[in-house]
This record gives sequence, structure tokens and C-alpha cells, in this order.
Amino acid sequence: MEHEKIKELISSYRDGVLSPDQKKVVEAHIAQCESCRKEFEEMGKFEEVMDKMELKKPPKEVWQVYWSSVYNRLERRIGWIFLSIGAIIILFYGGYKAIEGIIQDPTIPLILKAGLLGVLAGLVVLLVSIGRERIFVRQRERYKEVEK
Amino acid sequence: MQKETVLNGDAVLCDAGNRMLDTKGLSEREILEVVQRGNREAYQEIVVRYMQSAYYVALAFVHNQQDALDISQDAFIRAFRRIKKFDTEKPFFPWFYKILKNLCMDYFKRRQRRNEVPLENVPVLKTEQEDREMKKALWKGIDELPPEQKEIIILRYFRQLSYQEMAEISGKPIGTIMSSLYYAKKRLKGIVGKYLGFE
Repeated sequence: MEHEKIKELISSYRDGVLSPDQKKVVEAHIAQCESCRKEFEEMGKFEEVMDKMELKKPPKEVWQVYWSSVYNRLERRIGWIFLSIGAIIILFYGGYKAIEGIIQDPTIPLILKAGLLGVLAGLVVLLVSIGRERIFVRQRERYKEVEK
Repeated sequence: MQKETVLNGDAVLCDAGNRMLDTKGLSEREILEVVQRGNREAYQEIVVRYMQSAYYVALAFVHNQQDALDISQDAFIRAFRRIKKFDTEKPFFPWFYKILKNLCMDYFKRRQRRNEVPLENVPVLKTEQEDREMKKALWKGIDELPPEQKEIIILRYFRQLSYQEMAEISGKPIGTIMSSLYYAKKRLKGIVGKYLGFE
């Protein structure tokens, strides 16, 4: 067997994934090949070092409040949704009343009223366009791959 | 309001009336089915079960403890929002892991990665200075691995997952896992080797 293939097997030897036959192949080879035996020993030392590597642990309190943080954020989202809907309703109603007042005011020139209606029409078209784009993107979002 | 009670140093599940939710004897699939019916309290069992894994995977990717905490919690929130689309016949963690990993990748796009070495100060070599230098070099080496190899190293050495588990999570065959791990170890062994007396 090629040395590179044996080295690949040596890499997995201590992970317990080799079949008994593969282990015998490795053991028989390293008994006769000094370079692969050296690789086997070095890999052993490397694994010992890696097994001692640990990621930094956070304080224990972090785990005690972890779920509370997730739960609160889940609840807060609902609050934000209600707030947003309420704000939109107030904004639209207020805007409607203001525009109604301007349109019905005979002292305001017609050209100004036409300009205001143009701005409003443009805003509506832009909002609809952005909304459609977001829906389009959402339908093709990458998380779709994690669904069933 | 959800209450958290601590028994023997561990968080336990309580509902708003501070009664313990009885999820004993329920399989993960059954718990997730309850969650899919809109029960947020039942989701606690899933979060508590996987919070440490989520945190440490995020930490290995983003290097910063606070960011890892935020990202892991974000991942649980996103998973909850998508939970109705989850197939409860399949294990939760591989599905959740993809969400978590995508959030970590998004993190890199939004901000520069912090150059921190998020390893515990467990002595490995004889002197503290050599130890510090070796860990810094090793972490830099892990960080510079191609993404697939880096992912496998993180899952193998910092979550102690088996080859089978890594194959499930990554969606790759075991043969590919073995090969990626071999090339990653070869590279990292070269870095660590000079501190251990071999090249």
C-alpha cells in the first residue's frame, strides 16, 4: 500500500474508525517502515496535545440564565410586532388626515397638491417594490436547505 | 414570566407558576412535536440540552466569548421560528448546526474576526511561554485551514464528535471526513511539531 494511504490510515488509527483488517495493515506496515513508524509516533504526540486543548469556559452563571435570555428575546419579538403594527396604523391615519386637510384647503395651490400626490404615489410604488423584493428573496433564502 | 430554578447547580425547567414541566420520559422527537404546537416552555428542554454545544461551536468559529453567546442564542431563536418546518423524524442538532454555522459565517461578513485565542490555560508544554506560543500558532493554523477542514477539526477536537456524527452534521460521507481530517491534521502537526521536537 502507498505510504500516503498508510499515513491517512495512521491519522484515523486512534479514532477507532479503522476496521480490524485496516488496523492490521497499519501495524504490519509500521513494523517494517521506519518513516511510517515515525509518523505513527508523531501523530500520537500530536493527538495527545490536541486532546488537551479546551475552549474557554464561560462562568457557570451563563448556563443558569441562558434559557431566560432566549425566552425573553422570543417574547420581546412579539412585543415589537405589536408596537410596529400600532405605529404603522397611527402613522397612516395621521398621514391620511394631514393629506386630506391639505387637499381640501383651497388656499394651497393646485400644483403643490399635485406634487404632494406625486410624492405619495412614488412612495407607495417604492414600498410595494421593496416588499415584493423581500418576499422574492425570502422564498429563495439559504435556510430553505435546512427545511425538511 | 418564565422562572429559572437551580437545583444542584443545574438549571431545571419551570413554567410561569414555577411548576416543573414534566418532560421526563419524552423523546426529543416528542418534545419537538410539543414545541411545534407552539409551546415555548417545552423548547427549554432543547435549548438546555444543546446550549453548551452551540456556544462552543460558535466560540471556535468567532473566537470571542460574548459574541459566541449572542450568536448561539440567535441560532436558537431562529430555529424556534422555523421549527414548524423541521422534520421531527430527524435529529435536531444537525439541522440546528446549519443555522448556527450560517450565523457564524454572517458574523464574518459583518465584522472583522477578533484575533483572540479562545483556549483554556491548561498547561501542555514545559514552559508557560512555549505553551502560549504553541497555542497561538496552533489556533492561527486552525483558523487558516480551508473551511471544511476547520469545521471538521472543531467538531472532532472541541466537541468530541465521532466520525459518524460529523458525517451526519456535515452531510458528507465518512470517507470524506477521514480525508479532510487527515489533511487538516497533517498541516496542524507541522505547526505543533516544532514545539514537540519533530517537524
